[in-house]
Amino acid sequence: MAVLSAEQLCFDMSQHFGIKDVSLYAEQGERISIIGPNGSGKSTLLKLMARLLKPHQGLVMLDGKDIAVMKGRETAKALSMLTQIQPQLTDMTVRDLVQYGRHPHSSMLSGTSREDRAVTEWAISATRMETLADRPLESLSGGERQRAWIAMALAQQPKVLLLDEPTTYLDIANQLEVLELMNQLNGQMNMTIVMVLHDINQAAQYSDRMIVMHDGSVVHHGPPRDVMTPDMFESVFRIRVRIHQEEAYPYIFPLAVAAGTL
Amino acid sequence: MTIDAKLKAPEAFSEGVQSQDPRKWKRTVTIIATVVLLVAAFLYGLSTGAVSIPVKTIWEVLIHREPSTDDQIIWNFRLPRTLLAMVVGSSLAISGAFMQGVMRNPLADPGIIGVSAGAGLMAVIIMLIFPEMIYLVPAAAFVGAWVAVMITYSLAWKKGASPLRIILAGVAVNALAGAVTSGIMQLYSDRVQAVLPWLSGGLAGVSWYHLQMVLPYFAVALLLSVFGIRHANVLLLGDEAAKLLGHPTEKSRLFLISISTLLAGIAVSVSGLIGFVGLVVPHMVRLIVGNNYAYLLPVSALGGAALVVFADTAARSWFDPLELPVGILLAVVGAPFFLYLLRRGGVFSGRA
Repeated sequence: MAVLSAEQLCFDMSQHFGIKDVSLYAEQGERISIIGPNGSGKSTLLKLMARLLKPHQGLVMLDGKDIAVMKGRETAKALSMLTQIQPQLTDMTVRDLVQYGRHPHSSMLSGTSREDRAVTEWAISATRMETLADRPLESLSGGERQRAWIAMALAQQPKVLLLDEPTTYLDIANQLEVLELMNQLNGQMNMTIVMVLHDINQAAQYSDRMIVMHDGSVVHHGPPRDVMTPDMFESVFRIRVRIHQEEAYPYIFPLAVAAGTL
Repeated sequence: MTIDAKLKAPEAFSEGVQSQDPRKWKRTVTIIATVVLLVAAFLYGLSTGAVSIPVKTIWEVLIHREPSTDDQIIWNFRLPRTLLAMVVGSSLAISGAFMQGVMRNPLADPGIIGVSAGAGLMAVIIMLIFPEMIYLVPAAAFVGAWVAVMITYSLAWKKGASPLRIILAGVAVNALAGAVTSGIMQLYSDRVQAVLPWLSGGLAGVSWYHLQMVLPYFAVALLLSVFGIRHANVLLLGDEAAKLLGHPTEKSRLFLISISTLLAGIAVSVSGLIGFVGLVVPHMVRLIVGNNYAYLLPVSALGGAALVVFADTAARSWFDPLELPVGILLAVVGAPFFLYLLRRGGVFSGRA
């Protein structure tokens, strides 16, 4: 059964841009990448599924329930999201930040429980932030800060984790580290991972299924080897590519911008 | 970097880890220091004036209440005034701390959403147009503050009220209320003298009556502030992250703005327009204890109380026989200090 699904979502961002009638689903334990050119609606789609935006039509179901009528906390216990841009938090330590992940599980009166503390430390350890846990966020590198925010999302103990371009601005080692962590969470905890990625080769390597968006609609979806065809790249990304095979994953080598688009 | 093959289960961490947060000490010391400071301010306030009363006598007078001149001075004049200065100081500081958090702006203070302008307009209307109802000034100022904030908030509302929209709407409300206030002062220029002390903010002539009037509101506001800590802390993460945690950001903002207005309204109703405290106290405290409201709020409250007691005592004793409105003294001493902090870096270099 799909743990997260969207049915006929419509959302008008502006006159020229919006989400048009998008339906999709994610099974428990699936790794899904959403790819598409700039402005195709990838981030907007993710925000609609995370309830950061309200769809003008259609609905999002989480665990069989309509998120529009769920309590915010209930949604936050099952779904968390790493946004593309995080606010600058200066003096807050990594542990302070990760503890926020327990917010939906606790209340003003219950305070921080033993379980909250255990899960916080677990999230810090899973992201290998133990030695940095008491450091203020402002003293961390971009990659470390990204891991701290992922740790916060993990402390929510979600079934589904959405990530909006989690590797952008990171160096290659940090990129792989984030993606390997997602593999680990998926493989060992059966966590559903839905991420927007710009690097198509990474998307091919780290997902079971790819969703291709173009002009606010889903135009292709399926396993990477089925989706990644020269025709798709020409029509959606307007580039000509050669597709290789690398360690059982399809791998694209871009050749040129497709004729007639410039 | 290679990755451990196996993630541990959360249960493996049930022992927890002792946090090594280096600020722990700093925070504890700061809280103790502000309490000491407040006690010192309190004693300074009670002992200083036209007649100087030694601390030992203060103690006796407070406990035993022997009929004497000292007893009269302390119980009838200095004690209510000092206590009110504490209420005003902590109200302004807490109000400013919340406002800076809600607006995510280190320069925010209650004035930014129209509190002072609204209260000022109503007070001026009463004092100049209906001087026979002068006893209504505190209540009118309180109401004026609330009305101005409600206008600001509803002007800013458009499927939610973002901090930026609130600030912009506040600018408009401030300008309008300020213009009407100036207009009234022009029309009644013969009576304007009566308004000036109130507009600069001072505690001259306050009594037990004023304290009794605001104390219930202050108690409620303090209680609400304790609940506000969690809300303000979550809002620090920004709207998106807070919403992703299932937190109702709009409701939180409205809740905190209401507490902030209530507190600023309390202060303005008894002391007129005292600026500076709401802006600078939380700001300085932030530099020492950080942004976490669990520390920021109590330290600001204590520090604000101590500052206003010190300043008010100085304002009424240093220039004897003249009495300066405390708001003026605070601004004259505070503005250069604020500039010093700014030049030293830290205040605007992203730490707040």
